[in-house]
Amino acid sequence: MRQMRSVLLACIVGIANWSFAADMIFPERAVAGGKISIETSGSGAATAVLIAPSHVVSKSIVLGRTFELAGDDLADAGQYTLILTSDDGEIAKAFFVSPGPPAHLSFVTHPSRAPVAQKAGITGAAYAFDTYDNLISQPLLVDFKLSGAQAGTIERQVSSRSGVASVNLDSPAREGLLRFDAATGGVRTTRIVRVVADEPCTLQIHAEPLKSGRVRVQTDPVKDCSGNLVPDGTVVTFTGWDNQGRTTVDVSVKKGIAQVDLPSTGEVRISAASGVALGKQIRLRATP
Amino acid sequence: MNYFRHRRTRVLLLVSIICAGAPAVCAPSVELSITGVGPRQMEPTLQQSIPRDYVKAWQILSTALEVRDAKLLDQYWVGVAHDKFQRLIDDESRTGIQVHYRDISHKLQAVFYPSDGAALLLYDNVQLEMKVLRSSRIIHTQKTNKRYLILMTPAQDRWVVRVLQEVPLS
Repeated sequence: MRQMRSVLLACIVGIANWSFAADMIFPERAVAGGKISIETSGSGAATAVLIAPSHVVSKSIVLGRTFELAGDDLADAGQYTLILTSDDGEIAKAFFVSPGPPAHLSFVTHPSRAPVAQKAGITGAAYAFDTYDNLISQPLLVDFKLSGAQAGTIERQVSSRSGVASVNLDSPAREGLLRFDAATGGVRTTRIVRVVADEPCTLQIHAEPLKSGRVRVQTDPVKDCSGNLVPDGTVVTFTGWDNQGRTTVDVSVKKGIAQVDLPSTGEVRISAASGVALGKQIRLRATP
Repeated sequence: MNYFRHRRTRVLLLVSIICAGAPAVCAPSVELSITGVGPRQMEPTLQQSIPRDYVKAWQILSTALEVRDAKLLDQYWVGVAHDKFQRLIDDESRTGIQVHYRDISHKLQAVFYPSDGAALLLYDNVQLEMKVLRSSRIIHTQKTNKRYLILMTPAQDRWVVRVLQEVPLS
């Protein structure tokens, strides 16, 4: 008896499904921004509800006729669910929309000011998006180019993985502005990277006694290990010892040189330091 | 057919009521794998904050869709992802169609963490329940597995979702 009831119920459900004869045929895959035609079967009025990854479209349609989904209806990449509802019931089918070709690149470079002669000192990561801001996850060949007036040109071609292509490049030995390009599929984005001198490499100082009981101490042009003048503002610490004790003064480099007048009496010892660079200590006698 | 639909509606309604009353009962499970992520290693604190913030972002999204309030998205969604879900909420108001998502589980796989630590790219294999309502009546329900490619970036005190891109299931 129970078995008969189950069979009867299955038949009723089967007939109910069969009575809603509407169906639809559409391509299993589409491209974002493209339009597709959907063939329907059945008869009468129905509503087509399109559930996209991040938008919703509702259209009144006539079953048995073909209707279209326009480019804007398919703007998101991802899985879509199309639901047809009519008085007879509901039918739902899914299809997938892939991103379109690259339309713009999000290009993130680091740092904006890079020290000279650094191994893998400049990094770039490019994310490619289509016209509808879908991240393109399929592999793309991305061309990176780093160029500057004195630095020459470095080029790398990288295949994107999981939507990103990244590159690490050595910074050149000469300071200056660099143009950092990323390009794929006819789309190009440029960033500017400033290459700046590194920390001071060595310090040379010289001093002369002044009449006012002070000693003028000056550095030679302060350079990094690649021979670039260190940027203005780099701090040099001068320390002097005399009969009165110790005097320490921090001075900023201006146009490559740091200079200070230290109060001194008698025998004076003076040294200077900046970053990891230490100047050779000098001795002199201050003018009384 | 109607009998089944009404029964299904009642069950979903019951689940919604239970989840609203005790969110912990319905909190999605979340796993994060960091195998193969690079070039920078993910810091232990980040390994904790990413799953927490990502699940929170889904929770906010779910609520924003349910109450049709795009302002809520500002808390965990930015950029492209924010704009897209704002459009979805606008569409809901315009069409009278509502889409509710309930995330059941997330399996996160971190794939790219750049040396400056300014972004994190990861995949999520998510199990979702989707409900489509028209005039507050459920017209479609579906339990589905989806795979997303996600770009998260740091904000002041949290990581936020900048891109949430569905990709084919692999």
